[in-house]
Amino acid sequence: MSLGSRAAAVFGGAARRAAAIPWRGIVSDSLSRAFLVAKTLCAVHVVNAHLCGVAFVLGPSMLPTMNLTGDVVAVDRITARWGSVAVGDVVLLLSPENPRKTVAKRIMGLEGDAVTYLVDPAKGDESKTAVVPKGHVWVQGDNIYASRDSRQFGPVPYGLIQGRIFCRVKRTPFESIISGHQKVLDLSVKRRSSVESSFCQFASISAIYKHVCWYNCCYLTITAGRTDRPCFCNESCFDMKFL
Amino acid sequence: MSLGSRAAAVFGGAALAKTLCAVHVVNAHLCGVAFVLGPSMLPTMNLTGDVVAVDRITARWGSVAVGDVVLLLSPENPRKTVAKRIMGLEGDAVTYLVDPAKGDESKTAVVPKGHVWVQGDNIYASRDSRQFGPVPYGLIQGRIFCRIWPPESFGFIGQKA
Repeated sequence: MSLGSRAAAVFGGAARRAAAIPWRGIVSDSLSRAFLVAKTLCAVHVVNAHLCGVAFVLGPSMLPTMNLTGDVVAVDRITARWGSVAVGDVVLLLSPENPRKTVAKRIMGLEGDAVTYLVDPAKGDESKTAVVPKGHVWVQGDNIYASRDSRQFGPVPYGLIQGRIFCRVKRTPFESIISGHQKVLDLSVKRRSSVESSFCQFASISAIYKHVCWYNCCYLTITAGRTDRPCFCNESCFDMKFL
Repeated sequence: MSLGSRAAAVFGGAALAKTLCAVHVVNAHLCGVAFVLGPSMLPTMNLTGDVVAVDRITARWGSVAVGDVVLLLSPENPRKTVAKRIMGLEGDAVTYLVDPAKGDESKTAVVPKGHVWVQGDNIYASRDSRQFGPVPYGLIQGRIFCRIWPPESFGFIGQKA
């Protein structure tokens, strides 16, 4: 066989095999599957954005209600859309300082309320009062020592609220997010001796209050106390100090 | 109802739900339609109302510019959506007439980080940043780029000088 006819045979065979592949079926199959994926994503998105969404929140500003290292939470979109958020609700909102950032804070005042707040609790007892204007809310983090909130950026327009956080998803079954200020004090955690060296999240509270407690696991027992100041643990973690 | 017509009804309902979901996703994230009325944006927009096309991507991307007409939630009433023109971005110093019907007094304000300054084109009859201050960027819902009804005033809405 000459070179030319051998090449023709190879190409001819390839063309025949290509013609035998059911292209129409493959294309229509993949299109219909792609449509199915698109439809599912649309439906998931609509539910997530308008009924009940899921978010991951992290940071020290909502300790002890939420973990420093992050929580997966369920966000109720209907309450915020309906306008029935109340004082004490934890909400997700767009930060007025950076619209690409979503923050979680607790509502401390609705429009028309007079809110009294500690300006900078790490630096003294000075407190101020502000009236929340129409269409705005006053938000504060539970950990007022390490939270950038309405005390710094003022009352927040209601339109920035994205939803109300009502539930935390954990390894053990769902745990409801504490609504209302009083219940923060109901936390009770065991006290451990200083010999144990496991790292615990509550050790991070002491870092915020400038007491380093990383080596000793220091759980706090809070049975009763003041509603406006949380506790911290000192360096040796032998006893707890109530501010 | 026979089995066939019941199945057809379910199918029709599911198809309707899927279509509505898709329409909503496009409307909320790509290009939406809105009806705006009022005197605050005369002469750019009619007093009695216009149907406009709203571009959602520009606002989401953060690339709105001075001179764009945007749709935003009112900071005074979150259930109200208003259309205004952006006169200053964060960091800009905006000089504005406080109340042009009552004289020539003008003030200057610096727009804080994460906020924009909006004003209506008709400054005599507009409640905007001159009254309620700079608006957080997160309240912007989209950029109005085209008027689609009434058909005699169909056209793109551009940036005023």
